[in-house]
Amino acid sequence: MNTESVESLPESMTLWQDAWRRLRRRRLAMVCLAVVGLYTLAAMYGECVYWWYRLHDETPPYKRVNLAEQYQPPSFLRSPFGGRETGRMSSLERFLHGLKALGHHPLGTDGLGRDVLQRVIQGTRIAYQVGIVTSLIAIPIGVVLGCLAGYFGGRVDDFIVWLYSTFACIPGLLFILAIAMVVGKGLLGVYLGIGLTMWVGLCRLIRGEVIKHKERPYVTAARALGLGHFRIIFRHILPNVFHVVIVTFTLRFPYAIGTEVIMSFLGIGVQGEPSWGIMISNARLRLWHGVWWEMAAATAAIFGIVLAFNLLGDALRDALDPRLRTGR
Amino acid sequence: MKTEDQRVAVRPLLEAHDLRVYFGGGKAPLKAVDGVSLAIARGETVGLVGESGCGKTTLGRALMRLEDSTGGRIVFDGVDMTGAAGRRLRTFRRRVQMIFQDPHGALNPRMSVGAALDEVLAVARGLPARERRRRTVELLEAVGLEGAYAGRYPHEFSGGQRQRIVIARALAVEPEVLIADEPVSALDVSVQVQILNLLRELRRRFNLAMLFIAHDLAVVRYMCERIMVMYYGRIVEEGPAEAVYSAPEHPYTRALLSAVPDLDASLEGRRRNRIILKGEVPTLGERITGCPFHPRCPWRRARCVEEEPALRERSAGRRVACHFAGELGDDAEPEREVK
Amino acid sequence: MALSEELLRVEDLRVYFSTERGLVRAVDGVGFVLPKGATYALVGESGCGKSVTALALARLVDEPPGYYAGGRVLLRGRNVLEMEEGELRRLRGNEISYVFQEPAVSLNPVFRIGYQLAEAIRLHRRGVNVREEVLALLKMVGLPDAESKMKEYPHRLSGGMQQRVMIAMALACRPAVLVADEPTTALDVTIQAQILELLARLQRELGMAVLLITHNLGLVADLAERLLVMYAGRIVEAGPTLDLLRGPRHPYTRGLLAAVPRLRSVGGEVRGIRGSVPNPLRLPEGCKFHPRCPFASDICRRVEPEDEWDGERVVRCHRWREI
Repeated sequence: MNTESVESLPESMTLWQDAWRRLRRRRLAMVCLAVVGLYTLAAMYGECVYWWYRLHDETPPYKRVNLAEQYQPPSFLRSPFGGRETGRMSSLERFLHGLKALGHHPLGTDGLGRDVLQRVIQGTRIAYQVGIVTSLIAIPIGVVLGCLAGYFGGRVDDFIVWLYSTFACIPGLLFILAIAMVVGKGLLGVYLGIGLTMWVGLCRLIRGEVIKHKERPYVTAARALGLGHFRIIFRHILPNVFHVVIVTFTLRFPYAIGTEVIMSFLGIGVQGEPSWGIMISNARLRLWHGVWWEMAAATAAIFGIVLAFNLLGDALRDALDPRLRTGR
Repeated sequence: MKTEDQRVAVRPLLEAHDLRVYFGGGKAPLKAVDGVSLAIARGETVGLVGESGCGKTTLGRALMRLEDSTGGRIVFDGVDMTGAAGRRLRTFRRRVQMIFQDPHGALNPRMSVGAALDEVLAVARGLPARERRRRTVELLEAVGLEGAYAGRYPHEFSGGQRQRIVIARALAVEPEVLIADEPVSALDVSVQVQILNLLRELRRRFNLAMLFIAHDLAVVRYMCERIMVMYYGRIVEEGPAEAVYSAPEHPYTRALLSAVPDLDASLEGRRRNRIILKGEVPTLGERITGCPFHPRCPWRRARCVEEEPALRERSAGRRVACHFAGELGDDAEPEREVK
Repeated sequence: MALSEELLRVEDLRVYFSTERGLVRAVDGVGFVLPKGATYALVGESGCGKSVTALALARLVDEPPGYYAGGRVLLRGRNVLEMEEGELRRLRGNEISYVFQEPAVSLNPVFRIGYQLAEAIRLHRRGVNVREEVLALLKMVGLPDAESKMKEYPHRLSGGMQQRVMIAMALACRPAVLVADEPTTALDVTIQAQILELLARLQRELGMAVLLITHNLGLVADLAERLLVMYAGRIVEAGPTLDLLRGPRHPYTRGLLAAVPRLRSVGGEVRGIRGSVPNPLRLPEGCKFHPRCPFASDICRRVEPEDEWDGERVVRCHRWREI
């Protein structure tokens, strides 16, 4: 038997590695990834702070009321390097003092004298919790139902399509409100409300992709080899449609955050924790008194993460789309 | 070479009796396969020839029970498999394997070659891990690839190499029947013969029964002892390759053979009497009364329009579905009877 | 043939593609002369550069990623590669037109056949009765029932009929050169025969030059006068068809001929060419065929062979005289 050793193969690379290589070449995507990374760090820091004070049974600084310091503008607007008390200092001392002043409530304080930066970081923590938990609810439901509907077709498909069509018919916010009514206000309501509506889009996409892949020869080959249905669905088809899950996750994550903001703003969301929605809700009345920084900080935080995730999602879609990789 | 009589004595491994596959149901189903009977014995290769949409791929899939049949029976090794389900069906499928036209699509792009083979060996054969690793390398070497390629992904291979991998995977379950559906038509000319030769060698080595589906008559000639010509969901001619190629009896077979570009004839400067068929290959949805070939047949008579010819035995192992088989004359240009 | 009038001359054509994985020299030094009214065939396997060569004749290669790295394409003495956009547009469809492999995707699915043909005529020809011309074209390519087929959408026609429409479109302006890129590969055998016969008839009637691009050697034997065999971006052998097929000189041509199973030969094993078509990103040193060549020697591994002329035949091989 002549062995095919005539041609040496190039460096081995899986399709995931290939996609990562493509993504890495997009500068904007990498910037977005860095931004997302920063937010993630902030969320993790926020989590640590939260648990630290919780375990020590103290009121965390972002909840501590300090009326003496209410309505402080961001530190850089308080002329940290000037001011009266710095009059007799040397320039070095003045600089160090300035730095310290800059670090004191860098984004100002709110109406109860709480540090805005700390609250924004806690908001990031909440946002991540919402994003992750809702994804943990929505992705398994969407993936499993989508796969089953797409693969088996027939009655199973009819039922699942009926199910998600029904879900899709209910206006999102109304459904979330209803769930909040049932399980009560608070994070659990937010999780369930968003998670149970978010799977619909994913399910629809996965179903379509699975239907496409079901007809591919490799699936026929797997059937011909006598492999079971569930092995075919989850070992063979799912890895090939998984890019849809990743892209959907990056695009739905900011959607979940946005919804949480709206819910909290409406007062049916997070209770007692400084989420971005609550910050905006609190800040909106004081906006007329010229206290803009709380609103600005929360809005900018939302804007940043939503933009970063959306751009990243689009770049991921380009990098992962197998259609762009044909012929190689 | 077995003689005709010996072959009849051997019990066929895979049989189909009056197999029908209709799509769509209702009043006007698409009859992709309409009453096909065939038998393949161990070590024998049967060629199935036809143009696109004639139902040859559906027939191949139906034989593996990848397509539900509407009527007829499939018998494997003397046991009726038509209604088999669950474990029995899966076991049956492992004894009959399939090779596909598009080697690119037939491999899961997210699975390395080794993982794909390993899975088959684990699930279908239940081998322990060490044994699987050894078999993987053996299989790759059996199809002419290096065992070291196990860690590579399908997209890193050329078309011919991918087809070798597909063949290795099919062999992993140690099948007894191989259904090859256009296994070389997507490959480069210089590579096609490598794969054909590989299939010939494996057939001998494992004593496989093979159904070789193709549209390229020269390739079928190279591979098969017996051929069947399919048109519009039916077998129109069947017989030993030798006989069918040298003296085709059905007008469609004649036209098909004369339409193939023939290098030898051109080189010898022979002018060939080409039969160029009028009209199009019928789609399965079309309603044709009488003989399905009559709208394109140069030898058409009144009877062909009214009555559908049955597949009649003309000589030992030679069957033709034409009212006028044997009466067409040798001339490629028929005398015309105006309708 | 030497006396016949020269129509198209390709000299040392080089078309490269810069891809994210490196430079692909798809066409690397191709040259030939196509006389008026002749039928030539360009034969090769996938990725050998035959389609890129065809597209380059009317400067149709996408730029980027492709670019013309050298050479000239002279149509009646004018270099196509240096033409302006307007000039090129007049050239395309008017003097060089194309028939592609997949008629189904070459026709726009949302317009009627007649409309698409009429558009091609209006674009290049003034003052003709468009409707009559469309009908005449459809009849010329043997479309049955042309009147009513004009009003059909492409998907209502079979592959063979679609290809007839594509040919009608290509002929709308009576081009001097028709480039047919695998015109029958996607069609059934019996339909293939119809289309080939049609092409041969039209070539005779209209007296145009045809460049037939194919991977099927059997197909060209009856049609083409001269054969150009391509491998890895180069023409490795060229000559009058029958002459070349009867006595191939390049080991690749020999291998290719030996690799085609014959309809009439019985038994006997056919031997293919070992290995596979090279990846255009990683072409070998020296002769591009040497890793697959049974006759390769030291010089083949180091030095790339040049064209060697012998009468009307050309071959690019160091050792063709010995083997």
